[in-house]
Order: sequence, then structure tokens, then C-alpha cells
Amino acid sequence: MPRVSFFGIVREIVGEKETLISGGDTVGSLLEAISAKYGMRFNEKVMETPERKLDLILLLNGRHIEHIGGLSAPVKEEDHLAVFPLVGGG
Amino acid sequence: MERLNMLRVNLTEGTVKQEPLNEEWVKQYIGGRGYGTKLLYEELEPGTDPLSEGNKLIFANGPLTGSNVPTGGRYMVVTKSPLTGFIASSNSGGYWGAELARAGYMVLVFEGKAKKPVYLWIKDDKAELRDASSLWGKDTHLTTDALLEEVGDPKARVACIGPAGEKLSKIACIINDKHRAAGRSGVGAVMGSKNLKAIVVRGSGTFKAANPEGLKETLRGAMQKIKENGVTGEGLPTYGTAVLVNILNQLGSYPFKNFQEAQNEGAENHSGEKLAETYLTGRTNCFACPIGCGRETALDDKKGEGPEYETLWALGSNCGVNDLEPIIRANYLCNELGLDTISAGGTISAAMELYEKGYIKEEELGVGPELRFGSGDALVYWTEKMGKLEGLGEKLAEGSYRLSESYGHPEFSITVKKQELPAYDPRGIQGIGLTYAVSNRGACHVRGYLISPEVLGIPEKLDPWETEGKAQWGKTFHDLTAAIDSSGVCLFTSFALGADDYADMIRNGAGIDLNAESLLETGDRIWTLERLFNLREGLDAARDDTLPVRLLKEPIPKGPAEGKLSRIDKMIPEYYKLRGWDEKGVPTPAKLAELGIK
Repeated sequence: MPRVSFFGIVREIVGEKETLISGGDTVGSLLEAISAKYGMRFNEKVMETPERKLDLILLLNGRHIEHIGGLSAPVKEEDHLAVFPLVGGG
Repeated sequence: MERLNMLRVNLTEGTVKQEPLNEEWVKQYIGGRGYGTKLLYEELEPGTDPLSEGNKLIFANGPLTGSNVPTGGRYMVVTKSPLTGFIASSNSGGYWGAELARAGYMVLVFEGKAKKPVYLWIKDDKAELRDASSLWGKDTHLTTDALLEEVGDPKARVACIGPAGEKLSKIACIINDKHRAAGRSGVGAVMGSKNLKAIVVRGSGTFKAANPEGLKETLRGAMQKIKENGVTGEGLPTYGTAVLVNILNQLGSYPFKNFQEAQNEGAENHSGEKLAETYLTGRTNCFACPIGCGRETALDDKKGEGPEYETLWALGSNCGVNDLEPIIRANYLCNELGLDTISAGGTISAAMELYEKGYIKEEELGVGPELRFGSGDALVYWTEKMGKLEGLGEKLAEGSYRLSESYGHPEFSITVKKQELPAYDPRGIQGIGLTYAVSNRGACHVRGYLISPEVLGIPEKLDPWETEGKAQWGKTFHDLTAAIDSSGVCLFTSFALGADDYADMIRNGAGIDLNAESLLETGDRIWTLERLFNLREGLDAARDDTLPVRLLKEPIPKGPAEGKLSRIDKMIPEYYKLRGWDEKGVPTPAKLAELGIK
């Protein structure tokens, strides 16, 4: 099963650092599976809505999903998705 | 409009003179970094030894420092750097700069050298040099407390050096308000070389906007953008900068053990998330800052501020140390003794590599712990020795380049222009490597923070592995940053604001006629003048605009960016061309004419 790690405020929302989740063969469907597992709090905070842009940094095996197909990027059994809130610094 | 003034302090003669600002320079270079660079360029004799009486030490606010513009509390220290031999411009926040503006000054310039330790006490239009002999040798916290008591005003603000600056460590910083640092390029050593221990300031004036109604309107929009932006409205306030640790580590571009690797399995243990669970006690804001990225922390026996992301990495991952306790302790020591945390960490990590490879001998350590990667004891012990210039610490205080070179292995110094690299591996993030290599003040992440598009996706997501287009991004970021650094506003606002916002704020706040386009051109002018300063001081583009050989020849050994090398060779020629420089990195006469530089 793909491994999913949570960071920053997302970790506080889901209440754990890491989980194994099945049911997603793309990043998008994996996010839906995560959403189903963690319910409304995750949904409201981090899922994309028509009113609000997705404020997440998603790294699949250390690559930002933007460069490997976005939400359609394929996810394999042994893959690792890291979910970060939008943060910054210097 | 009516401008603030400048104070010229001749330490050799013990005189303090008030002078008007040069209005033409304000129009062309704004203030802060730009004005300071122009002043240094015009007044410094080429080839001056940075630690001699001939060097000049400039503190320059922007015209918005001390205003109600969000984050308008920044000042810049401009001088010739003893670390790089080129221009130094080190920025700091806190409250000191705003207090200087309230006292009526935008710029202070120090010349010569005092016969004995002194400090400058400024209270509005009265300024005098006072004896600081009893403070010499004291750390920055004790110095600050003693000075506030001596001037009898707890609301005064203090910028000072610690023992590292007094003893001329080339990586010494200037600390204001106890916890904020004009950190880089050894500006603290220049202050020490002049026997200037501190500047204490208290003012009673208020900011006068050129166009109060226009500024009010501009600020309404700017505040809204800062509040609504994911980074400035939520990310930085909630987690500070430390939350970047896990992101960079997951990307495999988080340097580990002096850049021998780029991913650290134990990074979670010193991450922002871990810090929040353990030693974090509160948040702090600088003057007029709605963001509040500062972190208050406490150990069993001490309290302080930080560590920030750069410090967590430099004193932590880069030294192979993952435990927060020794990292925090070493961070506090850097602030108290007056050392730049990035260069301190980069120097200890180089020393660890030199020791582990057999170049630094055990007998050189005295009673100190072995300089081994991962040793928190070594980190804390050698940070203290470096800050006090004791034993082997005297060699460490020269910075990693001179240290490594003294053992015949300069390749272990991960520096550009002899200044230690920040916390992003240029092999896995190509654009930031370009900005390190061509940075006028040596390796630096805050001249052109391409991490924003390359990692965070702001204002749009760029692929960190690609080089194409990065030269243009680098130039634009360099120019915009130079203008922001000259305004008195914090760079962090640029996650939310654009060139037009800054132009509006400077125009309405300071009466300098700028729009987005001319603001960027002003940044270009400042960058180019810094370049001219460096060329006059002997900069050779082939030798100096490059990265350490490790990053060009040793691929990242494992992790997501495995096999990657920096390809600055693909970006630098295009960068020069976009700047209007020739292939040797020299601005062409046509470019100088275009920018109005004579």
C-alpha cells in the first residue's frame, strides 16, 4: 500500500504522522481516499473547492506532483506521498 | 518631501556630524542597501583592508523603516566584507532600525577607529560617543542590559557586537534587540576593528508619509494580501521558517554532513514540527510586522529566540546533529557571542570533515570533544570556542574557507566568495545555485529566493531540476529583492506582494516616484553598482562566480535527487547577457548608460 506522511498543520488535522492507505492509483484518488479516512476536518482544510485553491505541497517520492502529471500522476504500491501545507521561509 | 538625516561619526577624531541625505541618490537608490552601496562606492578608497581604519561601516534604514507599512522595521549594514573582500550588506529586523528613524536618521556612517572601546548614544538630535571599556569582552545580552541601564531608558534600542566581533572573527555578526542579527559577511568584525561596541538609540519622532491618503489606501490592499496569502497569512505565523526542514529533506535537497549527502534520515528530530512539540514557548514579531515568524524557545537553564530554518540546518543537519537541544544551545551561543549561525555551522561542518579525514589532528583539540559529525557535544563546545577565539576556535573563527585552506584542502569549504552556503542543495535545486554563484555578497539565499518558485510554487511552480528560464527568474528576483532591501520592508512580504505594491508603498510613503517597472530598474541599478564595487575590488568572474567543486563534480549520492549535479554553466552566460554584462561578467558601457551610472 502507498505510504502517506503528513506535515505541519495537516499532521495536526489528521492526528498522525504517517499512514498506509489503499484505494488510490493516482495522486488525486489517493487524496480522496485520505479524505474519506480523515473526514470533514481534512476535507474542509485541505481539499480543493471551487472557492479555494488547493493550498498543499504534494511530493510523490520526493518530486512535486506538478512535474509528474499533477493529480493524475500514477501511484504504485511502494510509493510515498508527502503532504505539506503551503509554507515558506528563508 | 522632508527627509531624515545622516550622522557621520569619525571614531579617530571622536566627532559626530549631522549631514543631509543626497536627494539624487535617494531617487536613484532609494535607501537601505541601495543608498548604502552608493555611499560606500563613492567614499571607500579601492583596495582598503576591510579591518583597517580606512573601511567605512554604514547602517542604512530604508525610507519606510519606522513607518506603518507592514514589516517596515528593517535596516541594512553595508561595508567592505572581511570574509569575502567584496561588498557586505546584512539585513536585520527587530526594533532598532525603527527607533533610529524615530530619532530622525536614515543613515549612520562610521569612519576611522576609536582609541579605546566606545559606543554611540543617540537621543533624537543629540548624539555622543561614550566610553565602553567596561563592556569590552561582554556578550551581546549582558552588553544590552548594561547599556539600557546606563542610558537610563529601558525603551532605548541596542545594536552591538559580542566577543567574536571584538576579536575580529570574519564570521562575526551584529546583534540588535538581543535576538536579531545583521548576520552575514563578517560585519561584526568591521565594527570590532573600529573599537565600536554598540549603538544605542532612542527617538521620539513619528513617520510622516509623503501622501498619507494614498499610503492608507495602498496599505489597506497590502495588508489584505498578506493576510490572505497562504504563506504570510498562515504558514509563517503558525510554524515560522522551521517547517521547511521536512520539505527540503523530502525533496532530497537538504544538505547533510557538509554537503556530502542531501538527505538526512533523522531530520524529523530537528524539524519545525518537532520544535513546536518540544522547546517552543511563543511567537515574536518585529516592528510593524503582521506575520510574526519569530520563535521563542526555552531550555532548562536558558531562554532565547530561534532557531530559524537556516540555523536548524547549519548547526543541525550540516553538522550531522539531529538533537534539538544542542542545536538550540549553539544557536543561543551564536547570538550571545555574536556569530553568524550559517557561517558558524558551515565552518564546524568543514572542521568535522577535516578531522574525520585526518587533517585536523587530535592533539589540536586540547581537552575538547572530537570533531565528529553528529556530536552535539562537539557542536556546542566548538561554537563557544569559535565565538571566543580560544584554542582551535581561533582558526574556526576565520570561517571555513581560510580554515580548510590552512590544512591544504579548500575543497571542504562549501562557500561562494569565501562565504558559507545556506540550506538548499544547488544540485537538486538548479536556480538557487545560480543565485548563490553570482550573488554579490557571496553565497546567499536572500538575494534571489528562487526556492519560492522552485520548491513552494510561488508565484508559479518551476521544476527545480531544470535550468531553462532560471537566468531570467534569477535576474528578476535579484532586482526585486535589491529594491525591497532598500525600502526598509522585510523580504517575507514578497510571498504576498508584487513589484507594483512596493512601488506604491515607496511612492506614497517616501515620495520617490516609482512604478513597477522603474522599481525593478532601480533594483537592477543597485545590483549593477554592487557588481562594479566588487570588480573594483578585484572580482574575477571565472574564479568568483562559481560553486564549490563538490557541487559541480560529486553527484548527490542517494535520495530523490540522486545523481544530480549543479549546472550553473548552463545558466551563468545567459544571466550575464540578460544583465547587459559581457562574457566576463563586466557591465557594458551601454548598460551603465541605460541605468544612469556614471
